[in-house]
Amino acid sequence: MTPLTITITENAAKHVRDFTGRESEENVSLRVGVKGGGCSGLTYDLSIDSESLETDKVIEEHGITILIDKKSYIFLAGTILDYSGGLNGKGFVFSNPNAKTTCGCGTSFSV
Amino acid sequence: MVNKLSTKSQQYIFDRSYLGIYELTGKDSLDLLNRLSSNKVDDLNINHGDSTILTNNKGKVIDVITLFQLGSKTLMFTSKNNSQEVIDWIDTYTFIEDISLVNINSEFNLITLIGDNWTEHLIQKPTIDKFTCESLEIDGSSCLIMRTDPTGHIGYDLLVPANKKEDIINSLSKVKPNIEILNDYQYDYIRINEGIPRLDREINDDFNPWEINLNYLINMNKGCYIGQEVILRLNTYEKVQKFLKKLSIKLENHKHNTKIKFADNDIGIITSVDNTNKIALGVINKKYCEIGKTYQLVDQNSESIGTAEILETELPNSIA
Repeated sequence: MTPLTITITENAAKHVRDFTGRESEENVSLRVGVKGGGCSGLTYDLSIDSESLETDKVIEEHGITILIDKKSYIFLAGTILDYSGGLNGKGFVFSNPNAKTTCGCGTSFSV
Repeated sequence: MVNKLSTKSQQYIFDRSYLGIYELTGKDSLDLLNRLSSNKVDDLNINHGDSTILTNNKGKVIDVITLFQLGSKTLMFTSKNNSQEVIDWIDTYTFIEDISLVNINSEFNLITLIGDNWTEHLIQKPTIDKFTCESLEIDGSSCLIMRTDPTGHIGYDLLVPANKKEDIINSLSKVKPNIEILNDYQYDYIRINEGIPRLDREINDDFNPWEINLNYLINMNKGCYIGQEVILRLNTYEKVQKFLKKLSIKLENHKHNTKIKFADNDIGIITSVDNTNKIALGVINKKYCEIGKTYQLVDQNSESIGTAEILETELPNSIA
């Protein structure tokens, strides 16, 4: 059964923090969402956003506050956000159990 | 009867109130529609517009919409009024975008004007560029004229207050002596004769844009949109298997799902018919698209009901 949460790995959390230039003790808010578009219909969207909405799902892990709008959460429940570095790395990687198909370049998915 | 449009010497009026008219507000309106459709529409300047195809992730057509950016709002025209399929499609892919979409068919209607010289009667200009618009006043009513060339010839869509539509049509019909008001049947004949696809005939999710002559609405350089991968691959690897063709027909009794047959093979389907003028549109397997070839037409029970000859089709860049 798909867990009803979104997980960020320690490695991904570190890279979010590096990206924002914040010290480890500072809280960082990361908005994780889904947008319409991409070849398969839905694309992932990541942004630094300190303003949470009343309807957001809020998850805290590894010093990162993850904000997810209600509708995106339906498509993202169970997702693990990781970071793949190095020469062949893809950057932030979503492992989304709801995604049935992905497009060739891997940036969009359908459910 | 309208045999061939004489747009240089004559003007035509057609009431296209069947089109859906929507007002879009919100800063993300064009960005969202750009992500959902095949043409580049996120950078429309004020008083400019364009048409674009909403496609699903299999690259099939949902509808062709036309957008005009008016500054604080955008007008969106769909192929039919109360186009729930389009609204649901946009709604499905709206997450946190700032967009509001309101149907305004009860307030406004669309009148189509075909002919080269309309604007000189209305706005003292010889012509306006394709996909631009201007405000104007007709008999005291504020209207918007948009050049869209809906039949492939120079033509305009006039957005008018719904309660003034009849008065404005009446007034426009008297601008010059040789103005003809087209009925649905005449307009559909022109559409078929010009090879223009229409919703629920050719425009539906049985076909991709390449198959129904909507190539001109596919921007090959824009970023990702739903269905892009399939649509571009079909073109790159020359995998488009069928094409829209104009046909000369001898048909006893047209029924839905009239098929085109060669030997024992179904090679196509008739999508639009004008049996009085003996012309039709059909989507035909590419192997059988040679001009001048004649094929059998059969009904659902494979009973022969006529013949169809493929005509030379110079398909215009327009939608009905």
